Amino acid sequence: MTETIPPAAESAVAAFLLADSRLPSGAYSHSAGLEPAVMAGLQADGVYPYLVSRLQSVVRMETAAAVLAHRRAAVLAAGPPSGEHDGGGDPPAFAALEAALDARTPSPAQRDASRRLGRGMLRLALTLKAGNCAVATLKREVPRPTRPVALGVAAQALGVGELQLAKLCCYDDAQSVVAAALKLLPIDPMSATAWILAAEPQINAVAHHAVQARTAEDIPALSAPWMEHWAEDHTERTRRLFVA
Amino acid sequence: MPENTAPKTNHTADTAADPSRSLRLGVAGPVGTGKSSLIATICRAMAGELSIGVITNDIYTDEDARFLRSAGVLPAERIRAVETGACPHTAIRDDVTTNLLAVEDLEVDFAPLDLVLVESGGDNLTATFSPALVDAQIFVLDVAGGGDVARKGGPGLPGPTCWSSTRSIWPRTWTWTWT
Amino acid sequence: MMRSPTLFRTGTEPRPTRICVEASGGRARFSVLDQGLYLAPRPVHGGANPLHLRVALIGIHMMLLGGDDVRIEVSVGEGVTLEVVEPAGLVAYDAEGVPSRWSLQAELGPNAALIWDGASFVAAAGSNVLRETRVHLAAGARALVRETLVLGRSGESGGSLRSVTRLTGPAGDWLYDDLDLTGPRARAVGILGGSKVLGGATAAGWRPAELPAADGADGDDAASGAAGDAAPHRVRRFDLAAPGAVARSLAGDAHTADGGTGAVFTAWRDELLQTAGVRGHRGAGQTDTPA
Repeated sequence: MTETIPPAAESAVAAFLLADSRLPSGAYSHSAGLEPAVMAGLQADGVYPYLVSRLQSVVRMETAAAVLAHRRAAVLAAGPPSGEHDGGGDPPAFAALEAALDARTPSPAQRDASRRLGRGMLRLALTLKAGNCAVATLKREVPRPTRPVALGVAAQALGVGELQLAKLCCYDDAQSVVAAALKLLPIDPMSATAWILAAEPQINAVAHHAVQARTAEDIPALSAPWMEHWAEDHTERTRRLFVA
Repeated sequence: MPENTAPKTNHTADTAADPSRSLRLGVAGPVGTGKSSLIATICRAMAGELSIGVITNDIYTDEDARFLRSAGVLPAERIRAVETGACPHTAIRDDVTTNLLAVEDLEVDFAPLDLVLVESGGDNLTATFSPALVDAQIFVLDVAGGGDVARKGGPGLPGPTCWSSTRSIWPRTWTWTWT
Repeated sequence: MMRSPTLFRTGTEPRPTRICVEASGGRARFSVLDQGLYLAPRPVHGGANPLHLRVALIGIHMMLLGGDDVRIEVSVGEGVTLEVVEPAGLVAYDAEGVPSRWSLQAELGPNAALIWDGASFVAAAGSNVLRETRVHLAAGARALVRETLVLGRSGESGGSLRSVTRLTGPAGDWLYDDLDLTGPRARAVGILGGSKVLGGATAAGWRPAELPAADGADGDDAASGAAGDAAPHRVRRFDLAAPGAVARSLAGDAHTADGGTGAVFTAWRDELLQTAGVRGHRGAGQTDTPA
């Protein structure tokens, strides 16, 4: 039942797929907190700074967790499941990653949003790679995973490399912000595209730092208080285009 | 009284794997054509014989779900809303994940469910259901809206198993099936 | 710029302030009450419950200057409730960027409780301060921590502040929050933006009951704090995934932030003491399931 993926080969196509907004994982109704920020008064000139703020806080946490989940998935896919025992040097178990993310996310609205996205991503992984040991383990151990953990496992199952995964985790967040902004604010789509390119050095920096994570302790806990308040405010709204 | 035809083919791969799951029927069509009314009518007529659930899609929260619940044709808990936000057609066609998860949850919570009706958020004529989400679909039009619909066409017209037409200025509804 | 004399001290680190409380014979007592270099713990009249002790931290040395390292170590024994009060706020003065540190390390035994009634902590322009609040809770232990962080004295922008809060239960972290306002994150939209004050009350190991208006459930959709500006925001409650909750307010001035979260802190403190009183009578060693 275990699928082996050639260690040397990384799938560029799978990486493109995971970064593509057309991927059917249910993410189109999420704005990476952009709509809550707009409802709180953020305007077009605040979108790029907001995107950068996310790369400086929440995204660092999520990317490190995704990398660790990817690594755990690789261990599971490579051989018999190591099960409960976490030997020295083994990446943390999925449940431990989830607990670490929860401790770093005091906002229930943000935790819920992440789990909605995670569920969609897990569904995708189960459909495309039903025989994959790590995907099955995640489904069993954490039936409603957060987005970063599900993404890390899905990426590994599809043959996406660790650094690629880290970059696409950052890229996906930035694109979610920008795509939502285009629907909510008067912005030239070309400007928005330029923002993504402008954020590349930050994206690379966050990704390179994330792949150095070894344990759950290495997952940054950088918080963004206003984003948490906005996320909670958003749950009370009825007229909104995005769930979060 | 709208007629419903049995689905010609079952497009969904899942059925072969799980013959016990419900029949999923999509109801699409532009805003205001009477989708909710059609669903309410189906529920009223068949809730006695079939175990039914409804998933509504709304751009903003759960307006359609509330209408159906207030119509009293089905227990409120069997009517669930999925927010599609900016992309009502995406939710039923390009990326059906959120709807599919909602349908599956409904099937688990009220097993065994015979029929799940999925109402799309009102959209234009390009909005049709993915076969991954529904086994058959009804496309609802309001011909009192003018002749453009029939003339302009769109993927919504030849696609559905059955389409229902309402004329809002007349008390009767006109229906015919498309094979 | 104010430079601390301790900066030039070699060899020893500044002496930490230590407070240890434990119960014996159904009464709590201070087993350690060490005056540190900066702060002296002075017992204050406690409540009616013999297992509830109160102590105030009195400043005895100028602080917080560049190079200062203020450390407070607290240990609360099984079944005891310790309440620590900071009677006066603390200012981290202009140090021309020379780093300083303030840290609290607390260990709570089974069914112990710590109430930390912190006063405002001001990072004046030119300061570069790391503030750490680290609490380890054993089974059945509970904590309630109040803090008010202020960026800059009135009329000035804030210094470089990084405030790390980590509350850990028997099985792992319950809350780990790293508010890093240094470098690119200073004044960043979505982080603290243009807000000057963060007022918070944090409960860990137990989930306080919902309060009516104080929890911000007034349904007010508008005025939720425009991105990037310092408009006051109502107190917002966040229920943790673990047993616990945070009540927080972000505002343009200390009075606004303080008022809201202060009321929540008082209500939560009363609730914790009430249930601690019940536990006290039942004796240590029995674990309550947090509400």
